[in-house]
Amino acid sequence: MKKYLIQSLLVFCFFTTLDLFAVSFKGRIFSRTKNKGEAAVTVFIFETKKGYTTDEEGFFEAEVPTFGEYTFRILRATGMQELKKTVSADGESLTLFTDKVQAPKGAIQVDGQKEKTILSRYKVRYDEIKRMPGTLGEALNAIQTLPGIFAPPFFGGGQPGGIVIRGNNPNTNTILYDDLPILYAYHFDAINSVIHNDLIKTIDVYTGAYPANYANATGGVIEIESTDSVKKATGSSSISLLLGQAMYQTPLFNGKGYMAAGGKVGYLDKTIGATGLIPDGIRLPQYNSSNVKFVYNFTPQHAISFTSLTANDNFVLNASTKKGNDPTKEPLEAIAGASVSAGQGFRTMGLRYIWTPGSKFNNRLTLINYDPFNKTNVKIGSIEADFIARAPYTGVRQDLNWDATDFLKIDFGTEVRAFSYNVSGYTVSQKDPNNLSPNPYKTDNPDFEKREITQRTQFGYGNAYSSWHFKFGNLKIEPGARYDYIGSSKQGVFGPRGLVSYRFDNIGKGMTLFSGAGDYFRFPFFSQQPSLESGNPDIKFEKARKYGVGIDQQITEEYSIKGEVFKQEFSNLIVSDPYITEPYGLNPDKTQLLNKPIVTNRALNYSNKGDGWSHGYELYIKKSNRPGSRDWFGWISYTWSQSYRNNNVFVPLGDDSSKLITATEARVRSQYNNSKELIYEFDTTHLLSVVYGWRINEQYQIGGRWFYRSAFPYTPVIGDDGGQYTNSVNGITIFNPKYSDNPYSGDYQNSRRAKPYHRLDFRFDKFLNYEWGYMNLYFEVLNLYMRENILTENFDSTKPFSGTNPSPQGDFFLLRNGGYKSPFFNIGLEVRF
Amino acid sequence: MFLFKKVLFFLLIFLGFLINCVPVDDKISKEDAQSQIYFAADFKAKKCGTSIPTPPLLVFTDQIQRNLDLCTIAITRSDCPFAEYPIICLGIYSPDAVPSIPWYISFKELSNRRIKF
Repeated sequence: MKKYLIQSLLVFCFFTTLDLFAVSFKGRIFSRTKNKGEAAVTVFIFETKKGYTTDEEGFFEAEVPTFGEYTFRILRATGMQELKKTVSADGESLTLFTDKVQAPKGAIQVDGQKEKTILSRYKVRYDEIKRMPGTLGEALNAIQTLPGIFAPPFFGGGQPGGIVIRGNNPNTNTILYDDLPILYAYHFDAINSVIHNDLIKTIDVYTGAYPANYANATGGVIEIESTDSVKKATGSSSISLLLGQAMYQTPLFNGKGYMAAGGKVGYLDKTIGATGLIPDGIRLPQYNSSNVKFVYNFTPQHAISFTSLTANDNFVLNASTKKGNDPTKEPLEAIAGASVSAGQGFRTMGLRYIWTPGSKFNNRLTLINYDPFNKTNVKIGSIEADFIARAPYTGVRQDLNWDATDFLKIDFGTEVRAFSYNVSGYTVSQKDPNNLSPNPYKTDNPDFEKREITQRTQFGYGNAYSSWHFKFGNLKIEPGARYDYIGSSKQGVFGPRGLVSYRFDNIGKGMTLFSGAGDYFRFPFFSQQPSLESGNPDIKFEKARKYGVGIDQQITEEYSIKGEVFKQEFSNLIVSDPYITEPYGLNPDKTQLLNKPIVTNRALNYSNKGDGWSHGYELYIKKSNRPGSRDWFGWISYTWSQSYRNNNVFVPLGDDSSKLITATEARVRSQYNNSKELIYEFDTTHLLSVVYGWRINEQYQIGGRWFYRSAFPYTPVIGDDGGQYTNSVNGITIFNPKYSDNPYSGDYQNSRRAKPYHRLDFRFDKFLNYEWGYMNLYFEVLNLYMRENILTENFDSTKPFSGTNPSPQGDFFLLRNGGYKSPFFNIGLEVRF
Repeated sequence: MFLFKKVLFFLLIFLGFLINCVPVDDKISKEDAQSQIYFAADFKAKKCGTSIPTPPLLVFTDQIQRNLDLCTIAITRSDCPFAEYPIICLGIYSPDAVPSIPWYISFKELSNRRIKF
């Protein structure tokens, strides 16, 4: 304790010395047109009456008594130039630009760039989020601080790589990188993204009604925009406890093009996996990803770009069959003999031609090749699956922006794709999807069945969209529509949408009222649900109707506040349906195809019976800083929402749940709905983030983040099955949890929540500046006040139900060791040259 | 304002160092421990077709998780008949954690060594 106290006092003393001196800074007089500093000119600071002379590079060192705006008079033989500039931090570098860059003759100033909607969209800049605390060095994690967005942690039972937007399932989002698809945003550790930090320019998140150029999302759209210019060759590399990453970018062809490439390698298994904290038999996730972008501008009118994105993730578990001598030291005893090998990945390649024939028109033609895959090999009791699935497509997409008149801009786009869905192997499915506690060790009438899913299917897909942006003074009216068509099932969906906004210039720095709505659709392209072999080929698009109304007030140039009320209505949601059948169909058991090719009452397993809704409001107060400045920035975001779903599938009650039923009974049940509308599993009533970041001077930066949210709902365990079955590998009795099957009980599905989750994160950055670049050492503390956040409850199936089983399952961000607890921390080093 | 930010920063750093010294009480409350033992005994009694041995195993203090788990696992894995409690359940009356079980002692055999309370 004494040691820590002395260290803390030293830190305190160090920081309190900063105010004892005048504010010194390094200035530079720089000409943009000459692209170099102005040497040997005299700079006179009017307020201090002191003059300085610049060196060969245009630099000068000066002092002012305090922070604030100063008048710099640049004295040349040809005359005097006066510039005003703010000194905001001790030791900072100020660049005073003496002129503006003139557009080269013949260059095209494109006005027809797509204007982004104000409705349900939040944007963050890379420099704001790169060093955000609590992100473990991952910029994409920072979007969790925006309204309505949360990514459940992998170690808490959440889906790896899942981002929940306004209480929707993460699978219903679309994630794009420069308009190119990526299968998942996060690697298996759910902390690090598949995109290299330094190749991100901005991230736009559309949480509600989004424009017509985006598709296939009933949740939200995350659009990551990559670096769009490289002025000089730079590179970076960084290492942390979790992963290593590197990036290099350079201009090419005398500035007519550039190349940027980045990659990541995760080695959790070599760091945390080697500490002995992870049980034997578990190999933590390994992963890698790469991002490459190449751009060449032939002329101002013609440019091409090539983008390649790849990611691979895998995870292995092999629970030993050996029986240990001390059962309290065998965490995998319940699943002894189980083996899990899971892998996923994707490869995206995009070749884009950009044609800009004039200042009013811009067209992009993109050839896309996308290949997502999933490998699964699982054996746990009666759960057996072994398959490889791929859903590659090759497509051509065209997007144009046209300034038709002074008051009208038009976006128009089309796309065609040649899809294939290839699966080989078999999977496992739960016989009754309503059974919340299927037992893999049940030997009589097993709860799981193997399902052959090998298939090769090819089909076409096409879409077209258009958005019209009318602007009459401060009034904007933006109608749009989109049509999507799938060849295999010959179904098309039409989604109209629109936005109206009005800006009042004289209220503060501008106040905008806006309102919008639209119909949005999603189809499970990479899923067995619409499969001819193992699913329902008549599966339709899921539908969401979204509404939003809000206000955006720019208070000053730095402060803004945005509020929005939203509602979403869902229909045709795809659900597991054990009762839906077709009168006749191909025998799903391919070993019987010769003897009995046709079966009656063939199970279709999935239907579009689900529906639901969500509503809520969001508030976003932001203090911005100028890019590159030392000023502090931060924001407060708050969301209140409710999200409900109803599967509309018959739920057997009491003893009915274990009965075998006839085909006629199944058909009757498929027509009779007794299910209840329930709080959705991703419902998060309150979501609050407070973010602060401040670059103190050239050497130090600090940041803090406080995060609060309601816990996810869960279904409480109310008992066990009496230990009827055993794991045949080690003879251990398995106690299967029991849940309430009474819809009117207070213990029914999703009826409980743990205490609210909250934590404070802190990050400290130290920069070591060199002639060749800089090194950034950082130290990050998560859950600073060591809140014991509970994610859900965990039932140990080697013990009977009791007051200690189930037990609360804690958060990953609280470390316990030897009777002491400490916050989760991360240290890292970034080298940039 | 600037000084305020620095002081705030100092406090955060100071707190960050202090928190490493916080001890944790990981013991199971005696009520929860009693419940765990009761349900384990109830399972075993039903399986063996007997009643829970009397006098019942009573818990008087908060429990070290390891000691409690060894006792209840031994109960659920012991052989029938279930007339006495496994001797390892004496661990719940110890203030210290039960030491590691040596490799030459079978946990199964240990579970079947019993004591009448």
